[in-house]
Amino acid sequence: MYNKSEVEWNNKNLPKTKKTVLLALFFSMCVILSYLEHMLPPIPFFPPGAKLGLSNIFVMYSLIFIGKREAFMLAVLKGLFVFLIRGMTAGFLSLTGGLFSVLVMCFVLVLLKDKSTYVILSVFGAIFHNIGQFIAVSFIIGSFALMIYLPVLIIFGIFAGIATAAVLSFVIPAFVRILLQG
Amino acid sequence: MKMCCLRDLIVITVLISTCFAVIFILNATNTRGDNTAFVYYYNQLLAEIDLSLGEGIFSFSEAENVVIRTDSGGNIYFYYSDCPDKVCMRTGKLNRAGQSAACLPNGIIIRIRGTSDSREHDVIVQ
Repeated sequence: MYNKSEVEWNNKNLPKTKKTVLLALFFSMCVILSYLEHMLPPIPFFPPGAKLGLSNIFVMYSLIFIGKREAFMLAVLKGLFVFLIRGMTAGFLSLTGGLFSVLVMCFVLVLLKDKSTYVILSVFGAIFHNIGQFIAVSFIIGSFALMIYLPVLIIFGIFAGIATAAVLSFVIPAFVRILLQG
Repeated sequence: MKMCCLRDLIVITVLISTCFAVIFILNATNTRGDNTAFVYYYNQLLAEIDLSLGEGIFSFSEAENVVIRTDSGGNIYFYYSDCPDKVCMRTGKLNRAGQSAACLPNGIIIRIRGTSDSREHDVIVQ
């Protein structure tokens, strides 16, 4: 068994090279998950364009176990990847949503400190990912016309956040084993 | 770090309840009927389409690869778009005042307003 707080502390003091390698590894996993999610058919009952955001697992993991800078870096890299693959609009939305999400998760971590939970972090991350994207959309179209869909997307953001937190709690032991072996 | 706690459930319940309340209020105020669809290219108004007029096909020079259709049921929808995700086409048919849909890569936005929302003046005083 591992002591989570010990692992957390150790990982935040990782050598720079190891952090860079981990960031590259997480980014490649983000890319694969984003691509797989993009290929999946639309989820029933989800509004058009809504996704589970499984790649956020790695952003959350970086934030909790590695560091805030790495989490922001991952969000920026993800945005740039989407920009290259799916064009400027999608890239801008991904970047804005990702940065908003990490910023709010950092704020929740600072505010709640030891009382933070995976679910609350993930849910707020997912909600503010959507809010960030809506702000970007409003900026692009120069109107707040689409804001009426925000309550629906917040509800789906909550479910997506719970799903992401559940997956994260399953994969954390595997991640920790990899880190402790390295 | 724990997976979740009671506080999380309370926060989530409050958030979901608030969102459902807002959706309910919006649905109650958005009515079907004699509505007009406003088509914008970013924030430039391209067309006002009376949805009670029945079937029609619309395409605009600002975004030639977007086709909008109206049908006899008072619906308007994105029929075709060359955007990569096709989110606009999956939005479905719009028929209530207050509803909107957008094709962001092409910058086309459809917004429905009811007759009561129209900007016509009741009386002009000189």
